[in-house]
Amino acid sequence: MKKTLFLFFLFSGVCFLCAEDLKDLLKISLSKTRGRTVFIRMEENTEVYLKIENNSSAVIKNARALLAVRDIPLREPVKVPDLAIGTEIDIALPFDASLRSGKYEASVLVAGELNGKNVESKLNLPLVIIPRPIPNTMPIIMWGRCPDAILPKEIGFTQVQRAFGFRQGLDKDYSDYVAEIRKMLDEYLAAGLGVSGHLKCIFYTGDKDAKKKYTRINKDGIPHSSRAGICASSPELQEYMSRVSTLIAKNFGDHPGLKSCLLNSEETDHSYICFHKWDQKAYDRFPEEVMNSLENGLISERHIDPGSIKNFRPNRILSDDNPQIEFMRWWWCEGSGWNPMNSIINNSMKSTGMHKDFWTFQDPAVRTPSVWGSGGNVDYLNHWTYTYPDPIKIGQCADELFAMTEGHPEQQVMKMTQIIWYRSKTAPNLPKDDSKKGQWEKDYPDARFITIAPDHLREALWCKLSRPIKGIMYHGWESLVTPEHVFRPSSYKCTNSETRKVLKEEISNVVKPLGSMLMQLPDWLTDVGLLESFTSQMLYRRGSYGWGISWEADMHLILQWAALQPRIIYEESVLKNGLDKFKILVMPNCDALPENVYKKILDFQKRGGIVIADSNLTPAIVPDIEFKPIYRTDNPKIDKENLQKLAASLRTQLTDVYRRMFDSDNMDVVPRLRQYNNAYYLFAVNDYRTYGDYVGQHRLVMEKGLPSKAVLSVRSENPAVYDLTVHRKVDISQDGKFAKWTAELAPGGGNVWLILDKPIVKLSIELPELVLAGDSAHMTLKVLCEDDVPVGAIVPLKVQVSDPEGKKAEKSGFYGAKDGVLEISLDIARNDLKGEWLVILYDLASGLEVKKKFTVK
Amino acid sequence: MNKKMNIKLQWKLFLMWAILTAFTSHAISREESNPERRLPRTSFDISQLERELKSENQFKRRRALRELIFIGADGETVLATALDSEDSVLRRVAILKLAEKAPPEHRYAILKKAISDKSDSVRRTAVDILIYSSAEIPRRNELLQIASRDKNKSIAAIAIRKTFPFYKEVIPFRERVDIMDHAESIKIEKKIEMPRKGWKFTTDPNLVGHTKKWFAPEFNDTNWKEIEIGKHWDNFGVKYVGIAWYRNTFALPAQINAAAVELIFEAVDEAAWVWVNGQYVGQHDIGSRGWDRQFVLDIIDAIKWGTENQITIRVFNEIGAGGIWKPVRIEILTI
Repeated sequence: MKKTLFLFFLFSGVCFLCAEDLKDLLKISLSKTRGRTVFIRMEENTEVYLKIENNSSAVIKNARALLAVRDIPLREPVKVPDLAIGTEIDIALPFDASLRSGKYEASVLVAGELNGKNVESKLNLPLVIIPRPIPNTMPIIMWGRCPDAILPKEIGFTQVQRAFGFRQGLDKDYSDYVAEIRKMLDEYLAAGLGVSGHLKCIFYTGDKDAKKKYTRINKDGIPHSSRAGICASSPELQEYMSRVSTLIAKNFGDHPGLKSCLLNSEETDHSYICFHKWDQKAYDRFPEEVMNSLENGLISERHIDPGSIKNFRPNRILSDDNPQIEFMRWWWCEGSGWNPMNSIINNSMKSTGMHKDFWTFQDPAVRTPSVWGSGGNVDYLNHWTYTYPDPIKIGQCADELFAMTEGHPEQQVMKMTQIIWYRSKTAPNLPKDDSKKGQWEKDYPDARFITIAPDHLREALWCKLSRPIKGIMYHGWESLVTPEHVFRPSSYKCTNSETRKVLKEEISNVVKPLGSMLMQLPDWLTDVGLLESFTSQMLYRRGSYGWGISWEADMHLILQWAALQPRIIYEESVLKNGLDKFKILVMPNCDALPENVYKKILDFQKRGGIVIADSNLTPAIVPDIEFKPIYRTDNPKIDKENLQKLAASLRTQLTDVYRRMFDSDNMDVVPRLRQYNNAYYLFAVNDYRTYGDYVGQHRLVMEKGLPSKAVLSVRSENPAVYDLTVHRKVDISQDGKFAKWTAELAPGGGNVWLILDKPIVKLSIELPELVLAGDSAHMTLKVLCEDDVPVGAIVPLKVQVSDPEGKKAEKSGFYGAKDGVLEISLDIARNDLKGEWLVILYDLASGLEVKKKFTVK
Repeated sequence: MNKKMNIKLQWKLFLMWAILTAFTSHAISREESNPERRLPRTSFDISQLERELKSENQFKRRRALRELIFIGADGETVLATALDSEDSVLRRVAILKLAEKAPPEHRYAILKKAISDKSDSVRRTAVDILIYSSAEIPRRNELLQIASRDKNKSIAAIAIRKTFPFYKEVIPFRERVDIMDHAESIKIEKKIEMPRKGWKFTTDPNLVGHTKKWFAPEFNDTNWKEIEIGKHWDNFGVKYVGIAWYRNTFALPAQINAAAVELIFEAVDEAAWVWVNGQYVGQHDIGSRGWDRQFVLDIIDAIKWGTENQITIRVFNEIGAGGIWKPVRIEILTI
């Protein structure tokens, strides 16, 4: 090996000295289609792709190419095939990504023979190696067009969204476009950001004829309306999109900068029942009465006329195989075509070389009735929420996403907050008197979309984090940043500069340190279920459709304020899993039910289960507690008061019949529990708010958070309780079977406490004393309770690995140590600094710290 | 001595009773306080259920109701007492269980009482029985007519749909779940004021207009009275309370790629049902409080672009002056 390299350099040197005038005969450049210059450390099979051209009048023979950094070869030279006159060739040069992460000024030297003379060419090539991401890092995605990577990175995002694809047909030469996108992916990767794509079928049917061909049509063959959307059930379109997806995967699938892709946003919710020949063929499986109902307009996407149902009974219990309900269930799952289409796109991408860390997602996934199936086979379901009037409604929407994924257990849930607020819903009327205008109203008197209030953003974030989501997302870049940071003027305006500061602060102080722990932390299996009934939604136009502004959604809020922890379930869940896990079943707007769901509820009641319902409940069920639905006014303060009164009443009624696991003595401090083995994690979110001077003067949103205090309690005997944001043990008192402590929360703020059977007493670091550069050292970090037993929890840890100059090395970051143990492989690079290295382990629960040194030789 | 013994015995008996009572109440309390212990009872004492049906404790009361239903025919006599319960849940369920089984006249009596019940849910159950029960119900339509004036709009709507065959769910375009995300992007492409003059008008005291298809475009209305909109019909010498009909035509421009075509009534005193080109497009019927409320109907599926369109409006007025007393306009929306 060494001999080969020596000879090559000797050969190159000679070439360089005697053939300088022959340089231009050989040209090298980055290959347009494949060139990557940014790599993740220790990435395997990494290669730099080059294009070599022969511009001479003779064949170039015996050429070799070498990639080097400051004359240090990164791999052995690669033999270049003989190049005929005027030809070019793409070659791959292996690249060693095990060097320490950083920027490298590399060069490629190609040397060969031309008519017996030596020729050579050199290309300077900046290469970047970025550190490997910490496992279980929480994705934080910005859906919006950011002009560069700097500001999103500074705020704390891990991914930004860019729409791309092959929109000009599949037979075009896209090499320039592919090179441009790959360059963009490289740039974002180098900045430490991933790119999230957005693939929408409509992008590919942009020309008039194609759109006309696929537009959804009514039973008379006429397009439904200009908002009808396209028919995803078209076999031709499905085939086309499969090819598009394959092309994307082939061209970008190897690039680790492409992290994820949103599929067909907002298509399902704009779908009308369609009557193309393939649609009608699919409808053939349903009885004639369904077709008659469709013909007569008695069935539409969100409604079935009860009068169209044969033998509809006054108790509003329907047979399980009721054809109209079956049809609508099928239509929302498959018939609209979008879920199968998303599966086709997902599967085509994944089966064509997409890297293993790439994932797909669907958003808004619960802009549908409560029926399983959204997104087809996508990996994640997501949905956006406007936080007004009550930010905790974002938790209701998140819980709907969890209910949706019950039908597809491999799917995970992300949650998105809208940075934009509708002006019309928050501050619609511009005051005539200038003195009564806020500054933003003077700056942007015509703004249609304004910025979310900072306290709402913070509160919504804590609501999300208290649930087992696997990613967070924001939409509306232009409402987050000042105009110099946007691509082009938009109807989104940044009307509150505090919001960005708060987002940055919360990401830095909460999401990053606790993210890895949160990503691994399961939910507590609550015993309070909230049934969203598809049958009632279809027959009586119920349902929140992900908007969180229906009575069902408000019932969820009532339960949150009553310190109960509702888990939303769908009818399918009741049929499949029964109700054995629940002690309370809440049934808002459950006017009608399928027979077997009804029977399961009767069984649940026979076992002593408590049913809480409203006066819309089917009269076939006798509830234990019943409320009259409360419908909101335009006054959020009165609405909240009324709903909280109901929450208080519910608490009282349940006092003697329900055994709580946790509680909060202040309704404005909303608790939520998660659990790992015997360790509990109690979250609390401060929902104490008033009208501020941002939009509060319009009296439509209480946007200003206020500090709040509560006594929190968990059913546990003398546990050790740790505040995970200030990293210390808290003082508790024992009240019967409950451990109690006082929580003080900032405006819109939240917190999380770890509750352990036994206290954390020390930390340990095990690693070899001596490691050779280029070798790996295995490091075991432990969080221990007495008798040196690791704690049975997922503990948030900060690990800092420093080289002899004190520079932070790879693997430094925040972790979640499962079962109190964290295993890390330290892969010391051959160009890492030799000398004494330092590892610092900091426990974000107890605040304990331990250090250990080791030597790199 | 005997007296002393007697007192002692009485005291002992009292103690035994007290202990027993305490034990029983403790057992009940334990049973209620721990849901896991609230196991189903396997045998039932009807008289106990009757007592429990009147219990102050709603959990007990409603459990007794469930058990009475479970028992079936043997429990129906006791169940009948629930018809007069203060608890609306008990009344609702008892009506459902008993109304259909009762003899027709008794059935009528139960339902007549139920449609005037103070509880929305009881009235709704009664309306559902009136509409969907296969049992014979004397004077069913009379009861439904009463129900169609229910103060609760949703309950009234259920009855109206049965008594008046025209009904369409009205959801303003901006409030549709598939549009709300883009409501700020909606543009009014064109506004067209409906003519104030040139309307034809007639009253319909016998409620026959809809059966005679007065809404059909080809219907001959030449014998109807000329009237204007924007003012109450009283201004044109019509002193009338009840149903009346308006007909007219309006022109639309050549096709616009519209997302919705909204017909905006600034107010109709007090309820209205609307057809465009013979197609039913929706109603505004929220009772007498609807007299001064604006309402909007999306008529995009009924209109014809670039030509004359026919419009028919059926108006109901219950109190005072009536009619289309404020202007009507069309807004063509794009998004």
